[in-house]
Amino acid sequence: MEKRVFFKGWWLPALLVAPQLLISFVFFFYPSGQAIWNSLFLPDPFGLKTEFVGLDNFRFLLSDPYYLASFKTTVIFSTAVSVSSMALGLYLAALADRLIKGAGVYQTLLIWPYAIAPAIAGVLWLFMFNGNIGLASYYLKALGYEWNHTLKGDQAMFLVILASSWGRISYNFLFFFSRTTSYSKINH
Amino acid sequence: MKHLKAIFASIALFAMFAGTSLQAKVEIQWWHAFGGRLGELLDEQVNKFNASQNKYTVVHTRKGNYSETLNAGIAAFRAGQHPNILMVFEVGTASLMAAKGAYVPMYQLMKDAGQSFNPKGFVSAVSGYYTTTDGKMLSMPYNSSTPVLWVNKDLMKKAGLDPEMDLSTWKRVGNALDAAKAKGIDMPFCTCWHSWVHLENFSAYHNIPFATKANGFAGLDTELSFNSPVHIKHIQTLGKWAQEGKFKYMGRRNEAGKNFRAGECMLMTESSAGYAGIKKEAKFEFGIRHLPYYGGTEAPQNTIIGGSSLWALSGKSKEENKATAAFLAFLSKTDIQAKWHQDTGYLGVTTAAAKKTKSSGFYKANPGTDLAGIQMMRNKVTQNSKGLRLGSFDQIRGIIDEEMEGVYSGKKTAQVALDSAVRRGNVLLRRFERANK
Repeated sequence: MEKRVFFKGWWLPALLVAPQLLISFVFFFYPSGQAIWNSLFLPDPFGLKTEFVGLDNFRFLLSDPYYLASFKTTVIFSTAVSVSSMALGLYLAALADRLIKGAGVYQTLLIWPYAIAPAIAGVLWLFMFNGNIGLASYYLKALGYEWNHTLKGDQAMFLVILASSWGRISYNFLFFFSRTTSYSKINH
Repeated sequence: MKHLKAIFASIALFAMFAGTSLQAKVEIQWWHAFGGRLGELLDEQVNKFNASQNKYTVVHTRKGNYSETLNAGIAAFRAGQHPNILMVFEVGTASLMAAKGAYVPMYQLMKDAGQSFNPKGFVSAVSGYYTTTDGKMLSMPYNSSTPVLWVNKDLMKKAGLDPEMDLSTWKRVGNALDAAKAKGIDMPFCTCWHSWVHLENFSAYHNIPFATKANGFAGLDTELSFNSPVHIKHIQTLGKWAQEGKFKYMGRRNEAGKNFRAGECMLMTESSAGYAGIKKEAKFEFGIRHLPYYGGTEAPQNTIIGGSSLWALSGKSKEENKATAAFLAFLSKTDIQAKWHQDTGYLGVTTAAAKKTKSSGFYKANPGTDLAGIQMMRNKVTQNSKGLRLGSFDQIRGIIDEEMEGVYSGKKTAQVALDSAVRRGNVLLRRFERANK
């Protein structure tokens, strides 16, 4: 009796979990394993020959000061994007919540940027600040400020933060807004 | 019943003919990087070939810019889905050459297909780039250009300068830029492809090595050497001009071409192939000059090429290779080459095409279009001016771009930036050497 229950309790769950396990293995474990394995080799571009180099690729990467500097850049970028998009999202949500009339319109308008694909948004921002034909860079120049993000790293960083935050503000706004509205409903 | 038989017979007959006619046409694929006006001209060449005979059909596909086309070709090769012909820009040449077994060398392809093919018919300054040290041609030169100085004559006048003034040295160019700045011209100088013009060609033109081992031609154990005093002097000068607002840096590739064509930039260093676009768009009088140099050096030696060559990838049937050979031989015909040269501003890569263009009076009608050819072939080529053959050079150029931008923005001195670029680039060269032993 007990044996039959055990049999039943083992096969059915296994069967049900199997598809998920299979997918995880095929699309996650197998490729990651292969990536780790490949990281121990130095091949030529065409894959005609390959040499086992042990941990040399890691040594190469970690001794490159520019690779290490990219971690710092990532920290600056992620922090700036999270903080600015959360703060602005919250601020706008608070403002929209105080509205009695037209809240729906503002809400819709504020969500719009999120509907634009990140790639398109990126191109639009790049276009506006293009040193040759950009409107923003044109007006900045008229104000006496030289905008050239192809040359100036801090301007380039500012631009990518701006472009990334822009879409996220909408997303964060949505969450904050639904939270604040439900909160005010309880209080009223 | 009789009817039925007749129908079957005709179907069978039709199928047989259709079969043979399909079989007779061998189709080959060509992946390239040309869009816009150049893409149209390339398409014209392919159509001409397809109409000229009934054995082969060439199908061409654009795969993006130069780097993207190379990457697509390599990825496809690893998956066994590669085209017959791949366009590879000059920067990728060393990577292809080292990948023995990935391509059929041009001399071999032509020999196997029984095509009469004369590598001596090519201008040596061009074919030398794609030929082994023992004289075997590996790929077919397609589009080649060299940097020249473009002059906006209207802006020169506005700056109170004689538009025909001597601009042969960087010192004279500096004086012209001073005058332009004083007259309030916003962009006295700009450049496209700054590493290609101001380091790679600069080295050849001044007969100083860009890298050891004859710029990499003599071995994979080459090391970068573009941090000599003459190099540093030039990059420092560019940095100084950038700080003083005389040189505006617009980007790593050919972004500055837009500013020149729009009439904003007075002097621009750019490929001779900028011609097609400038001629079409410029609403001002423009002139073409030789690339400037520094007095008291070995300049002017000769400049080197940029552009691409066509590689026949391996693993294709004998019939397809024959088609590839026929098409490439077609492309090197004098008529085709001469037309390409005149339409685009790329060099005439065969001596016959250059001669034909000259005798047609094209150079007289379009002054300055012959300068690029003269500049490349003005002297006997030295080991510093034959070209560059460096592995991973696409990535090394990225490093150079980044370091030179540091000089223009005033963050680094030319000495520090070039030393650093050499050090970082050498690391990549050693890795390439190791992977291709």
